[in-house]
Amino acid sequence: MRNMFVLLCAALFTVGVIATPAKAAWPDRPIRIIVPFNPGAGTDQQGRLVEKEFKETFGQPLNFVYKPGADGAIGATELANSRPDGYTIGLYAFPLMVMGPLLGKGKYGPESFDYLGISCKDVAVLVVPKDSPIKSFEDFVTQAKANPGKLRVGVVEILGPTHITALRLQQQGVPMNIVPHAGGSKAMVAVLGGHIDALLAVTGASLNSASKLNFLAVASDEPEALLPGVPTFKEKGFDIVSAFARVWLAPKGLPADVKQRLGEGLKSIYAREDVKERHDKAGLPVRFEDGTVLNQWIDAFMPEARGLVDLYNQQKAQQ
Amino acid sequence: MESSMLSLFLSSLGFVFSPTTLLIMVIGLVVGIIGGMVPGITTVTAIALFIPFTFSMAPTLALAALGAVYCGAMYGGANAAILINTPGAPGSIATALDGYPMTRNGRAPEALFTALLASCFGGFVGAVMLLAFFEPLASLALHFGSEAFFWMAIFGLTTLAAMSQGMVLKSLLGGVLGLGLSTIGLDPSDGIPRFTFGIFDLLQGFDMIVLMTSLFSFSQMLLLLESPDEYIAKYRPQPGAFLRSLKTLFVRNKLLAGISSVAGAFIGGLPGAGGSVAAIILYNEAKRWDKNPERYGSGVPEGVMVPESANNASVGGALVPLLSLGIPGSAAAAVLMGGLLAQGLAPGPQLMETHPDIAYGFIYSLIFANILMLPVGYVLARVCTKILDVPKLYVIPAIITLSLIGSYSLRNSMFDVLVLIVAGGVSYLLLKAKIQPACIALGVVLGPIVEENLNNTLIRAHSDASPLDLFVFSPLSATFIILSIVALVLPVAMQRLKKGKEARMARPVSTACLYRYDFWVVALLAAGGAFFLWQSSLLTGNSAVFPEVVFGLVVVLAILTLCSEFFSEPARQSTFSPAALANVAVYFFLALATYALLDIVGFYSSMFLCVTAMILFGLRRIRRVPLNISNLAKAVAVSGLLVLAEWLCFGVLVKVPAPEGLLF
Repeated sequence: MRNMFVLLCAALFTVGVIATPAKAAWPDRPIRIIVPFNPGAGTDQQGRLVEKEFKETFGQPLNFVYKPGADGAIGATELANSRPDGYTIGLYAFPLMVMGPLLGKGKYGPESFDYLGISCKDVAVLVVPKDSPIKSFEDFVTQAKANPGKLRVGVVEILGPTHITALRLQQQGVPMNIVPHAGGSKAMVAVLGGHIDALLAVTGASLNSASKLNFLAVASDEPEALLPGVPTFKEKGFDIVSAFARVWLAPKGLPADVKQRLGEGLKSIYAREDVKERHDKAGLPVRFEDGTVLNQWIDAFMPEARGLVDLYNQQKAQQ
Repeated sequence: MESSMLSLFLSSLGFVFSPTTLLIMVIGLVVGIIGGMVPGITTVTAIALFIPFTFSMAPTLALAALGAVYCGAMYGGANAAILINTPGAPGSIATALDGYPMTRNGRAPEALFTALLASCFGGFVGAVMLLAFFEPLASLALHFGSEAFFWMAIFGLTTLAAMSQGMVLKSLLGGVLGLGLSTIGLDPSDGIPRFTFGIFDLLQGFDMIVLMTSLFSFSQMLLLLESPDEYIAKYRPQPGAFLRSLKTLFVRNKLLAGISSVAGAFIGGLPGAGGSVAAIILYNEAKRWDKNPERYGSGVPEGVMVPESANNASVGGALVPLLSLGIPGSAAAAVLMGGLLAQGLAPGPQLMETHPDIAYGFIYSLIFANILMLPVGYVLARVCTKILDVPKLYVIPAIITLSLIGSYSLRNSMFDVLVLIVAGGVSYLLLKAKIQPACIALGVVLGPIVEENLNNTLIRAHSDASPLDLFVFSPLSATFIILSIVALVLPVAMQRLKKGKEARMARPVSTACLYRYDFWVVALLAAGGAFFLWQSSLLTGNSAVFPEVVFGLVVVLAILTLCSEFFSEPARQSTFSPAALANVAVYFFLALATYALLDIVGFYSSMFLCVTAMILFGLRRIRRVPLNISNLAKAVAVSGLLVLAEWLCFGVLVKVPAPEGLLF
């Protein structure tokens, strides 16, 4: 009996020694990456597009953990509550990450995260099928004004960049019937099949179907390089800039050196020519920005975000 | 053009028949089939799991591998559905309806081979259709607006009326219960919380696959505890089963197999519909147009053949929108698209134009994968039949723990594990009240499609003079409405006709039903429905429409069922035996205790404890074997091996980050 006890203690001790992490340099094991959407969705692609390079740069692979639900708020909450040790990071999109808590969906705030970098900007675009009678942005406005509230315009997430663009257009005097869709691909089918008159999409989701579409306007500051000849809303007299910024983030409180290495590593990955080329083909052109930029964006956007929620509630009440 | 097509064909042929391609495709098929069988691993997970392995491959090879996983996973679910009545994937729900009765009748090998042959044939037809008609198929799919999807899903729901003979009301009640389950979480129109009662975990809603696993796998295991048999089903080798399956498919039912494959491919091509909808609708149609519809459900090979061919044919269909429009037609196709993008290829019309070698190489490899699946699937099916040689006391804990970790792995959520256990227990209790899990499952699968398209159509209708323009008078709406009415009325009318005068004879009112268990279950459902109806009335806008209708229907159907009970034969006996119920309760609470331990002790250790406890309890109380050292050692060894296998599958291969707790 006594022997057994000694043996057990020895066994436990051995297990303990093996299990105790040696104080090695980060990262010495795979890194969990929380994707708050379904596999295959745009956010998943954001990670998958650089999965190979991530392993080359940091020496450890990414373990993809999908936590879909509530437009990403479920996964973001999980990320916010994870240990900030550099072994759990995540992906999400601005401005959705700001809107979630405002709409009562997530138990986190923009201050719950350390921002590592912005990989891409997915800009909102207004598209119609090639054979549509609407040929230009002017046609679109004329049609909308001629039949107030009748022109069917598809959008994707509630208070995502496409919906925000639609609300802003309406606010600036273009009345339309805003039709939300569950996912970009279903919305694309609806516009190609003529079930809606026009669609507000993001570049990433629409460039794969580019040969079947006419692009009428793009909600960026400057004309998009990927969409030559397409005017911006600003050029047409509508002050609308709206995009998904695809973000790499981690729970607040990362060790400073880990945070720095992650930020610099991501920067070097996105600076590679082959990575850029791959992103262009996927319709998600690289627009790398440092994570710190996002803090400024969020601060600047907060008042606007509250205004948008109010605007949306007003419009719903009118219906 | 002709010559370039020919050279494309020849080069693709050379590619497909190279040893590397063959090897990779066989691996892909095995991964897919096993993934499809295991509850909780979906087609999507199986493909996503395989993507990293394809990074170092050339694009054509990578696509061939992913295509093989896709085909295998769509078929694999059938094995579990047939052998233990636990559809591994939503596409196999309909397969279980006749496949499992075949196993009970000692025809397991025949059912398995029929499913395999039908899957290969359906997949082959689907892939050939993708090759030959992808342009027309794509433009046809574009005609389906939200109003058509809405009515198509309603048409799918009419299957309920024919699902269980003589109990139409209870089938319908089960179906609307499933619809009701799908309304919990964020509502799809405004994206705000609905029926979550402040519980954060409810925000994500119930995962469809978790509910499937609990409705079928978990509750089925509890049901298996009741019978005194040592094995799940009596099994004897069936000489000539393969030949008989061949005959079923290619001699007796070649027209039916062809139609279900072609229609399956078409439904698969509608974005958002997918293999499960195809399988359910076609199973129902095959039953309706059969000379003798009652034989379906009792274990006929046609009931396996039709849904399996439709399910696998949908693979070819789902790739149509991806290759022609750049739009993934299903979640699995979306993951496949991710694999393409990682290779630096953008799917869509431009892929066909700029890289026809890759696009056509992919389609040819898909056609070939379905042929290759025949020998691979044959070997695996032979292996799988062995489960019938294992005493059920070992099978039951194995399936229960597999369901636990499978549900966890879907969204890495402990809440889903709890949902699995509780919903499994509830669905067992409902099953005892003759409300079939298959009916609830149908509601769960179709609910989100119905609501999403209902809301979308309601909003689009603002632009018309009257909402009826879209809902009734558009050609596709009208077609599906007529089909749905026929589908609802026909089975009832047929029954009346057959029963003749007997049915019309009024039975005396009897209060015997008040002493029956199922009466009070339905009464409880009526009360619950009323509560949720009241809750729905507090919602605003479009998010209230669907729940109000659904819970209104729950109340109405439950009350109608209650009324009809008063006229039923008083002789019906209770289906409970106290001893069986006690056993079921013990297993249920063991599972619940395991859930409580998962976080504290660790996932795999607590599953080990769970299996050991279940086996020992089963040996002692159900088999009445005296417990001695050798029994004990055997139970521990079996549990250890089982959990080791589960760890290898989920921990090492799928890399599920399970909670580790104190031990492991």
